[in-house]
Amino acid sequence: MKGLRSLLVPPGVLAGAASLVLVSLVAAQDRAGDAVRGEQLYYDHGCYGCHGYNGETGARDLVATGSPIIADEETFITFLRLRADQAPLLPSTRMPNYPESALSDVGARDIFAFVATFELDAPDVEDIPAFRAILDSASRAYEP
Amino acid sequence: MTKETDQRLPLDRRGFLKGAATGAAAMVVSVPSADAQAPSRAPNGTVAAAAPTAEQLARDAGNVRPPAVAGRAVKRPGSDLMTQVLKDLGVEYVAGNPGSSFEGLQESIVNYGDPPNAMPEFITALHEETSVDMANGYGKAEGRPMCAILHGTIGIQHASMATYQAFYSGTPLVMLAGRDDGFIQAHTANDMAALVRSYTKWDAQPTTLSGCLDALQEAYRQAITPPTGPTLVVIDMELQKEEAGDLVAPAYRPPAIAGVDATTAREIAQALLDAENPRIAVGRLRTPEGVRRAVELAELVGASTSTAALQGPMSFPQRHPLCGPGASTAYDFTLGLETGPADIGIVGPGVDTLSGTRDAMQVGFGGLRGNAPAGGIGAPAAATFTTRFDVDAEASLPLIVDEVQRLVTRAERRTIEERSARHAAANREAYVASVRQAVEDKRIGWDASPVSTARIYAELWPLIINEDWCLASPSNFSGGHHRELWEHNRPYSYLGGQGAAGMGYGAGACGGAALAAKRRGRFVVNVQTDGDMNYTPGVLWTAAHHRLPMLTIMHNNRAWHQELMFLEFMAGIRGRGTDRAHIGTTLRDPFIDYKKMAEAYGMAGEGPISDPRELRAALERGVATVKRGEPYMIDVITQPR
Repeated sequence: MKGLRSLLVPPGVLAGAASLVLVSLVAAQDRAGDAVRGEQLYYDHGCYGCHGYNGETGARDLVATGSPIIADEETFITFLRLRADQAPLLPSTRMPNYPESALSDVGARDIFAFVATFELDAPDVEDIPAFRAILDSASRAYEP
Repeated sequence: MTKETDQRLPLDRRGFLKGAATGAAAMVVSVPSADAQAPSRAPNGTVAAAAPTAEQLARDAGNVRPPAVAGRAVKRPGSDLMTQVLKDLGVEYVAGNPGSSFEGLQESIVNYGDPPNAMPEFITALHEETSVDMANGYGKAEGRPMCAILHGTIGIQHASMATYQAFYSGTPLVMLAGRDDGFIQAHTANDMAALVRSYTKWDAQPTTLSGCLDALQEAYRQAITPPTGPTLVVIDMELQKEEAGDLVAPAYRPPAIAGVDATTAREIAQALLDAENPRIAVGRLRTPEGVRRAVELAELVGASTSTAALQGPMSFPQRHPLCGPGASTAYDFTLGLETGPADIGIVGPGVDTLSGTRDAMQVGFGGLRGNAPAGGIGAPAAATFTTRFDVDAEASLPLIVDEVQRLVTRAERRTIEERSARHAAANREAYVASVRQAVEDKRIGWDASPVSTARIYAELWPLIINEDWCLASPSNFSGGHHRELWEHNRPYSYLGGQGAAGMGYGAGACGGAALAAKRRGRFVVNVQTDGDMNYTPGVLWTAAHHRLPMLTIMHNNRAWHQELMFLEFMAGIRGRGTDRAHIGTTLRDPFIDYKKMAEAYGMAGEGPISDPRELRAALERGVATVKRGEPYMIDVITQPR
C-alpha cells in the first residue's frame, strides 16, 4: 500500500530527501509538540492566511477536506521540508516552502500539535435557521 | 477641576467667532493688491509655473474681501443654462468637493431652479476619487450617468483612479472639470483632459457658452452610446460666469445606437423559431430596458438562457424560469447577447476599441496582453461565435422581438409553451440542487470565531430576500458567497467588480448605488473589505450627511489579505520563512476600530463582532436602519477569506 507521502512528491524523490529529514525528526522525538506555542507560531507564520484560524475556512481548509498533510506529524513536517528541497522556484501549489532555517523542527512540531486540535465543528444544515430559510426560498416560485 | 484644565476648555461660540473675525481681519489687511500671476523664468530659460501669490493663497483660505458690487452683475449666468441642460438630461446628482474653478456652476446647481438643488442635487463628497466612484456605482445600477465635478488639474488627478476603474467597467458617467486660468497656475492647463484621455471615452473643452451646452449634451450622449464609458467636459470659469442673454438650452437628441438590420433580425428570429432547443446567452446589457427586452425574447421563443447577473449588473434574472441549463443542454441554436459562445453573437464595441484614438500618449493601458477580456479584469474571457455582429445587442432586441412576434405560428406557440414548462421544471430542480450543495459546503466554519465570510452572506440573505436590495460591493475578496446563496433577479442585484481591480472603490461605489437606491425605495448592501475602506473613508460622512440607505458590513480581516498571501508565498519560495510577511500587508498594532470610524463620520454602527452568535441580531438592526433610509455600519472581525 502506498503511504500518504507518496501522494505528495514524485517517486524517487522521497527516499533520499526524506532520510535526511527524518534524521532531524528523530532528534526531536524526545518531546511532543506544544499546541499553545504552536497556536502562536500558526499566527506568526501566517498559516491562518490560507487555512483560517481553525482550519475550517480560507483558500485551503484543512479539516473538512481531510487533508492528508495533517494526518500525522511525520507527514506534516516532511511535506514542509520536501517542498523546500524539491520545488523552491516552481511550487506545485501556493503553499510556501519551509526549510529548517525558516522553521525549526521544534516549531514545526508545535504547529502540528496545534493543527491536530482542529476538528470539524459545524452544525448540520438542518440546525442552521439561515440555511433552512435559504433552502425554503430556493424552492419558491420566481416573482418578477 | 484644576485651573490648568479650565484653561483648555473650548471657546464658546461667541468667543470662537470673535477670534475668527480678528484673525480674518488681520489676513485681509495683509492681502496685496490684485496682480496677474506672472510666470517665473527658471535658470535654464524655461518658463515655470509661478508660485501662488499671497492674494491667491488668501483667497483659497477664504480670507479675501469680495469686490464691492452695486447690484447683481449677471442676471442670467451661463452656469444656470448648464444646470438647465443637466436637468433636461435627467441627471439626478452631481457629486463633488468644492473647488474655486467651478464655483459658478456649483452656485447655479444649489440655487437655480424651483426647487433649487434638485435634479441635479449637489452631493458633497470628501474626495474626487469618491465623486467618480459614486458616479460609477450609480451608473452601474441605473445604466445611465450621474455627474462628478472636479477642480482643475488637481481634481482630475485625484479622480483619475476612479476614472480608470469606470473606464474598464464601461460605466456611463459624465465628469465636469472647472478651469480657471486666471488663478493658481498649477491648477490649470491648456489641455486638462489629456491627464485622463487614455482612459476616458470622450472629452471637450469648449470655448463658448453655446459650445459648452452642446458639449454637455454630447458628453451624455457619448457616455451612454456603446462603448459606454466616462466622459469629461472642461468648463472655463468665464463661461460659467458670463451673461447668457437670450441664449436657450438646446433640445437634446438621444443617440442613434446601431443594432442589427431588419434582414438580420428576421434571420435571427427565424433561427430561434426553427430550433428545437434554442438557447440565449445573456451578458451585460446597457440598461434595465435591455434586460426587459431579453426576457421578452426568451419567453417568446421558449429559450433557456444563461446570465451574467452573478458577475455584474444588467443581465438576465437569475431565477427566471427560463434561466439555467434547461431541460436539455443539446442546444441546436444559440444567440449570444453581449456574450458567447454562440452561433450568432451580437456584441457591441467595448472600450478596448478606443485605444487607437484615445491613447494618444501610447500608454497602452489594457493592451499589454492580447487576451485581456472586455468588460474589465475578471470579466469572462473572449467568447467564440460562428457569426458575429459588432453592434449593440440591446438596440437589436426590439427588431428581433418584433420579427418573432410576426413570424411565430400558432403551432409553434404551443411547442414553445410546452418547452418553456420543461425548462422551468428542470431549472428549478437544478437551482435547488445547487443551493443544497452550497449550504452543505458553507456550513463548514459556521461557528468559527472570527466569523466566516460565508456566514455573513448566509445570515443576511433571509433578512433581505423580500426587500429591494442592491449588492454594490465587489465580492471577489470576501468569498463571493452571494453567488451561490442569493438570487440575483434585478438589473442592479450585483454591480460586479472594481473594473481595474483597484482598491478604494467599494465604499464610494456603494455610496453612488445608494444615491440611486434612495429615490427608488431600495437599499444597498456593502460587504466592505477593510483594506479598501481606508482609501476614501470620507464617503461614510457623505452617506451620513445625505441619508443614504447603505448597510456596510466590514469584512475586517485586518489585512490586505491577498497581498499577505502573496508575500508569504514569495518568502516561502525563497526559503526565508513567512513570519515577517505581515510587514506591510496587515492592519494591526493598532487594530482599526471601524465602529468608531463610522461614529466619527456621523454614521450609526456597532461592533467589532467576532462571536458569530451576535451577527444575526446586528444584521437585523442594520437592515431595519437602512429601511428607514439611514446608513449603518457593522464591524465584523472575520476569517481571512
